[in-house]
Amino acid sequence: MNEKLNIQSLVELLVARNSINKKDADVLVKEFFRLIEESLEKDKYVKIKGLGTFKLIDVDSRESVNINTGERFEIQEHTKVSFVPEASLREAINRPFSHFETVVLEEETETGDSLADIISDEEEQKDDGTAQESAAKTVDTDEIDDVSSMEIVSDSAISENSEQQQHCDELMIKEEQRAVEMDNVEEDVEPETNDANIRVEKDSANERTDYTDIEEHTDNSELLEEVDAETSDTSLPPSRKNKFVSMRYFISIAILIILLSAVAVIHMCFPNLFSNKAEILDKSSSTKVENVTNQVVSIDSVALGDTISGINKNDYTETEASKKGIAKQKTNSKDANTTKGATDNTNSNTANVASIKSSQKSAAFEPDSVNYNIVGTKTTYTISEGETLTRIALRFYGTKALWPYLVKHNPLIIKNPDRVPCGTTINIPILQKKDSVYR
Amino acid sequence: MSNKEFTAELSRRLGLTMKDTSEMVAFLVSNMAQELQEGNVVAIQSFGTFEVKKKAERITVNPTTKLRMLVPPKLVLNFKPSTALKDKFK
Repeated sequence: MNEKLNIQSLVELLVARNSINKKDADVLVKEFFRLIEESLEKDKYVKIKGLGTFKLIDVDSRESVNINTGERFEIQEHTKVSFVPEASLREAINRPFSHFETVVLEEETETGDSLADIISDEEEQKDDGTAQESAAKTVDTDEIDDVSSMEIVSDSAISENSEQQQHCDELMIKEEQRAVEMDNVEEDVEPETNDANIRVEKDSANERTDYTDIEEHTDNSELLEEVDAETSDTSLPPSRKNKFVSMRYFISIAILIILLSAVAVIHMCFPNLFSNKAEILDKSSSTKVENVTNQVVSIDSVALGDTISGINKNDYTETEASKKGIAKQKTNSKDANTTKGATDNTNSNTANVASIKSSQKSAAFEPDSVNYNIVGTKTTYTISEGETLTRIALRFYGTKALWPYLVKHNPLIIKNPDRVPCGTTINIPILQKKDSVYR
Repeated sequence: MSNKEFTAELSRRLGLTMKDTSEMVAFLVSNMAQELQEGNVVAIQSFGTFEVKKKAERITVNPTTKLRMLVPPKLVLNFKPSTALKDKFK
């Protein structure tokens, strides 16, 4: 990296890598280039496999203006030496950037870098490049070093970069706004790769905990600082890097917030994810959700009743007297908004229901109505708000699958199993398994 | 002068077989390529320098379709003939 090799070094390489003796190697290298020169003179065209093609190109004279004096003068016709690298070599050298493709740009609708800004930035960079070639050399080689060490990263960097200019992402808006804020915009591989580096790490961080996000972020900034130090002597302003860094902060913070809110939502729904089964069983009666309908009864008394009632599922008659139920809903009324008098109990109840459900998830839930006989009425039950036939079946029989028997046993009361109004009193049948005694 | 002719002439000058010279040339060229890939500069006295330069990405317009395209940045190999060589052919 950054080394300047000459004939001697090429000779040494031949000796070391290819076990050619020094004298032969020396003669070879010198004669090689001499021959190119002579063949070029003779044929004006030399093609070397693995390297490329040397050509002599004749240039006609043209008029030009002396920059300082402004007077016109003529550039003489002359012959220039041109070299075009071979395709395989081109590809090999461009390997750090190999995944990039030229893409069609859509119309810029974003605030931020306008086309004019981008073009002026590029021109600015070109001027920098021509003006400070030697500095650029070191910069380039630095960049190449970084680039080569962050291959995968640079891909996302550039794709991210082109995304910026193509899509209207919220994140991109932020970045471009930062870009606008900064005065010195310099397009550079390094900030891009740093950017990409941070982005890649960030992408992976999405799946980790908040803590690691922060950790990585500090790592990123450290990495940035290292890279900054490397190129501090060059003419590159760090403004662009800063831009990207601060944008990274925004993104990481946004991700943090999203994660935290997700955790909060989950805890709202399942606050007692780790509670024991005893609670689960007796709280299941008060399940479901406060809201959805306006007919909320005294949940507090219900909850109280729940806590008092025993673990035994069958002791429902006491607790359910005050409840009212609603339409049958198969699934997540658990996610109940805890807006209406959301007591901890009800919360825990819904959570418990959820945990019950989750514990019974493995059990297949196929509505069952053929394996059992109805042999009598066990008891009656008043449906409270938010209750469904499946839940009631679950409570009485330990499985949701037997709800059709409830319907079967109450043909006059339950006209539509999907719509059983709360407050309906239904008979709970005693079910006997057809091939065995069930209770 | 094609590759074959070049190798033939080189083998004649070195007094080696075609096979050997082509092999040696291949070694030389691959060494150069390897160094260039690592970002080093190869400068041959009185011939020229081989260098890897980075080209920035740019926005171009396809003249036929009028579509604005974003050309990605790339690394290119650049040869700069030395003044001696340039003068020779002037």
